[in-house]
Amino acid sequence: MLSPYHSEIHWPAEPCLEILMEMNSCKNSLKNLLEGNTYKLSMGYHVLALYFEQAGDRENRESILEKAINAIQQEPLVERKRWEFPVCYDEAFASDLLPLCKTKNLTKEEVIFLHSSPNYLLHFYGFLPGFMYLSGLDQQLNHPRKKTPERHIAAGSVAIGGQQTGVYPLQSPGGWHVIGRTPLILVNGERLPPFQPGDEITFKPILKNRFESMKGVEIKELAYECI
Amino acid sequence: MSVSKGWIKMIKPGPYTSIQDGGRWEGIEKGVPSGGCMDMLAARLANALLGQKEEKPCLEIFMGGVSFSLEKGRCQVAFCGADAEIRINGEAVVLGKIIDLQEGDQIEIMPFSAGQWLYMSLAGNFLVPKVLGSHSFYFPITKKARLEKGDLVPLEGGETLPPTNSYLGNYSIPFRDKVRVYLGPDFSKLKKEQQEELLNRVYTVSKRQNRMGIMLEEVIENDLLDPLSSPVFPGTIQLTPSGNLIVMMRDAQVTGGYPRVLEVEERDIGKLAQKRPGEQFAFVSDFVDF
Repeated sequence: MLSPYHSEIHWPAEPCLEILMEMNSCKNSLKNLLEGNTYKLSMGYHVLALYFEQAGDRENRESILEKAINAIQQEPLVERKRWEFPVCYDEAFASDLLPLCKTKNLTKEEVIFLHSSPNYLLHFYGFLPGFMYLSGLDQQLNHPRKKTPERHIAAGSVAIGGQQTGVYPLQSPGGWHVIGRTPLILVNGERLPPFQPGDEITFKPILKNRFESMKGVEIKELAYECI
Repeated sequence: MSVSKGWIKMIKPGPYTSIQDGGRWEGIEKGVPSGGCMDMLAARLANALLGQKEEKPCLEIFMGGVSFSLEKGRCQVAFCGADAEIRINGEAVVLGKIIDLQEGDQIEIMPFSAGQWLYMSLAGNFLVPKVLGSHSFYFPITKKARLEKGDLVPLEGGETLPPTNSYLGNYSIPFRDKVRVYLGPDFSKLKKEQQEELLNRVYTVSKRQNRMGIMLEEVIENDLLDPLSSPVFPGTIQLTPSGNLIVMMRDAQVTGGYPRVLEVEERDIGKLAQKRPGEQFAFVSDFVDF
């Protein structure tokens, strides 16, 4: 308990699927235990945080967290989904693809293959509404962020920054290297992405004409399989 | 009693005017910031004056230099927060008092003489959409980030309160220059001398501030390593490798990658928001045993 409003549960700082599953299980128990309270529940790679509207006393809050931690093993595994996420790697949408190829001494096809092969694990959302923190980027594609961020990165841009890859849900400034774009609209008013922490995302390369025809397709129509 | 529907028309929107309320308690898991009034206490007082629920939406005005008219309808409003001269049809009115507005009234808010955020509460409702449980403007969760010239804000004036002489005056907060803080999750990773310096020095609010965060002028030398991205909330204070302190405010992102060294007591976030660049304050950390 950090303050009368704020409590956290910490896991070892080594993000992996097992930890994420434990965090998910804990999160679900907490939601049941806290029904009727006003609070925010937020996750990072290894921290689960609760922020309450009302100050509370230590004993009460700590006993709730303990209950959630003790329930971890008993919880059934949450259903996980693997989503096929269309990305167009055409140079029209990929201002940093060729420079990246050059630095990495890889062909365009190799970069696209390396980027679209893994099943990326969704840990949590942050930075912007609908921005996914994904793990699983091939080490060969690790690339330090730009020293000076770009002022405008288009909504839907798929990019690489450090050891991470992600999709800009909105136009925003950003320091990542843009290698493609998705035709999907991730955030639109109340409509936020359906992907949940623990789900997997696989980038599926599409051609430019497919990109044009998919524009405005609702994410809920996306193909997924249960894993 | 009758309800009067109408609207406000923005004539001069000023540097940043928007509708804000008690904040968004939904959507954080998908990365949506809390939003809400920068000085929650001032907005609560403005609502309380009119007998409204304290977390109801208010018109939030930054720095003043704003004018608008009640083009249609009538309603009662109250102002609380920054110190400002307010004129209705050219005549000065006071803060912290119930004001009757009639159709056609011109409301003018001069540049503030102290503080940064002013709230106008309404007896009735601002008819702006509720998105993810809140009326607070936040683009693109809501259609607009702020009000622009010519924008119409629909509203309904509720039941009229009887004329009263009750007058709150401009509220003043005791210990205005003391901001209460709790120790953050990464505080203990600082060396003893760094911890003491962090808690005991005098701080200055810098120009680098907006609804997302406030950077402080002072630098705390440190050798903390960046942790994995972790949740942050309004009030979380992050310490960057170059020693800058960033206080997360209402529209802050929901996770941050810098060490989280302190956390501002919720009721003092507004106190900090009202400070102008160059104004100073100190932290208090031993105020309560929770």
